[in-house]
Amino acid sequence: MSSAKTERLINLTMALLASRRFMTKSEIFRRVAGYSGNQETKERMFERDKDDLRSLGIEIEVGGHDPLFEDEPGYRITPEAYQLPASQFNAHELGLIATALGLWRESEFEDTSHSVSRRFQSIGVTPQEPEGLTLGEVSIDETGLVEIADALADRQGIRFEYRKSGSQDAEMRRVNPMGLSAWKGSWYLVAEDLERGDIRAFKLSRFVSGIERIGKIANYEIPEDFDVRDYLIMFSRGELNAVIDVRKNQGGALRSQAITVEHQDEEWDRLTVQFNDETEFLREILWLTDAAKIVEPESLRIKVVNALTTLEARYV
Amino acid sequence: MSESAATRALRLLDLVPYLNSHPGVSVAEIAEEFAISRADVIKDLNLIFLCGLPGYTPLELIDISFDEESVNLHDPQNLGTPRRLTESEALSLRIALQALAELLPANHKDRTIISNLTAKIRSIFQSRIPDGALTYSSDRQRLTINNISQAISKNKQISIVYYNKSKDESKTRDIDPFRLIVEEKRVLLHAWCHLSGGLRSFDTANIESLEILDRPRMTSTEEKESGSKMATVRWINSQRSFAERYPSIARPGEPTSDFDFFQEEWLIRSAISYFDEIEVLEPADIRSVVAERCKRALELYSSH
Repeated sequence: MSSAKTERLINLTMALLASRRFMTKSEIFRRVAGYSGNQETKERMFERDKDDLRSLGIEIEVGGHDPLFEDEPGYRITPEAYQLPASQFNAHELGLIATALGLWRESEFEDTSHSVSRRFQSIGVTPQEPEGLTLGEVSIDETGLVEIADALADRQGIRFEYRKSGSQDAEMRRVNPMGLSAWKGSWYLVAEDLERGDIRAFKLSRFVSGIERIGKIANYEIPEDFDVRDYLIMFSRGELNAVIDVRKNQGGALRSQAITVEHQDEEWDRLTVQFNDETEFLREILWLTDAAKIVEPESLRIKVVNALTTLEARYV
Repeated sequence: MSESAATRALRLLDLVPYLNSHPGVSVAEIAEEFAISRADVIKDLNLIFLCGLPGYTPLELIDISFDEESVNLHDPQNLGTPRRLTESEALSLRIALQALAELLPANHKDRTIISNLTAKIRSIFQSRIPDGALTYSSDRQRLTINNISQAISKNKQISIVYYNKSKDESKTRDIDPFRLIVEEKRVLLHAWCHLSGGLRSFDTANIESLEILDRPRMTSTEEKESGSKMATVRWINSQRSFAERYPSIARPGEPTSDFDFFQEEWLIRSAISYFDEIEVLEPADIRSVVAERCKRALELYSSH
């Protein structure tokens, strides 16, 4: 790879950044170093350079507002769109930014965060280290998170194989990512399901394939008042009801969540309990084994019986 | 070798403001910062030297002088200020800041500053992703347990702020952690407490903050007579809620895991409760107890 192209890309960036007016193509070919050959070659070179810069995240503004160049579009890069607004951050904030970015160490975001960190360090202000912070070795990453976050940033659809809670079979889901939520060490994607036509939550640890982009970039908008918490069960109140018989003096944790506790007979009490997450609730009931018996719902009763039957066969 | 011209251009665009704010930096330091070889640094510096503004007289070129020991940028032209963040970069920073705020103690003064800073980053970089689209809730206890496990494996002392429920007071204690004990509803830490001068058990849920100290922990004989036994479990599938709930147990990377346990009752109930994730292989005598318990529980459902 020759360095001529790199040199030209930098010269082009500098020229567009220095120009207050929109520069037309002919002006660029005349003034910016590196454009040579016949008109067609130069045009092709410029188109590629423009695409390359945009793919790097450098915003090139296109305009033809200058009455002198009515027919020819012009190009420029505004300092506001290119530069980090250095004066907006004080030393304390820069220290917090550096510490926060350190959380991505050894994650797939490491390269990105290192680059961001370096740019904040290049502002020329010495960051002030936050006090009273002992984070140890924290990891906030999870497999797939970076790819999903990037798709969210691009507002572009993705598809992936997903295994639903309690199911062994995976199915292909096609979604538009709307938000991300970390809850007790697990990441959730909240996304518009394109087949089902509604917004759902997907747990990243249940993804069983890689993530593939679908559709166009900036294909949809996320409403300003969108809130992932509206779609995640752990932020909502208990919605499912269960009636459970529990042996007297047992099942303390379950009793503390119960809405009603009624005396049944010498041996048993009847509890009404609300719960959110069926899988978690099933574990709690199984933990009590023969000290609890599901009365309803029938679906949960069947799950408990199936689990116990599986277990008995496995451990015999 | 396979680096594209665009990738290299991006590095050079970042190199100029870096040099601008780090006068006298050495070639070796630059190589480390940008994760490239020293020879590549020299090539990059030689290329920067050729770039500039239209006109391209010495007055308009980026001005730089360097040897191995010291690189000095005399005129960055209009590249002195670093590049702003892309949407994806701003998003990764917002996530990290939210996580940082969550990891701080509840009353830490920086929490508000971070929340304002996150909002500022969103507005400065004109992000199209609203604030409500990102939430981060940490599992403080899990973090505490992970840090304790690390201190134990690295043989370090730790300093904890521990909340004593019955006395309703918090105290800072330097302790030598021995081991984590997993119980039904809590995870205990056995340790030598230097404040009280004795062996103590701490409920990890009541550890408000924790710092790993750079002092070796005592490896006491008490540690060995703890009466633990070894369990072996087989991981049935790739779901990990059991391993996530008890971080002191090695995560499943292999089909089976070994770990210490203290209460048979805990292991029996775990085998039943996490029926879809684990099968207890050892100790073998526990297996018939599991089967018997399940049989008794099934009878509750058949007898009606």
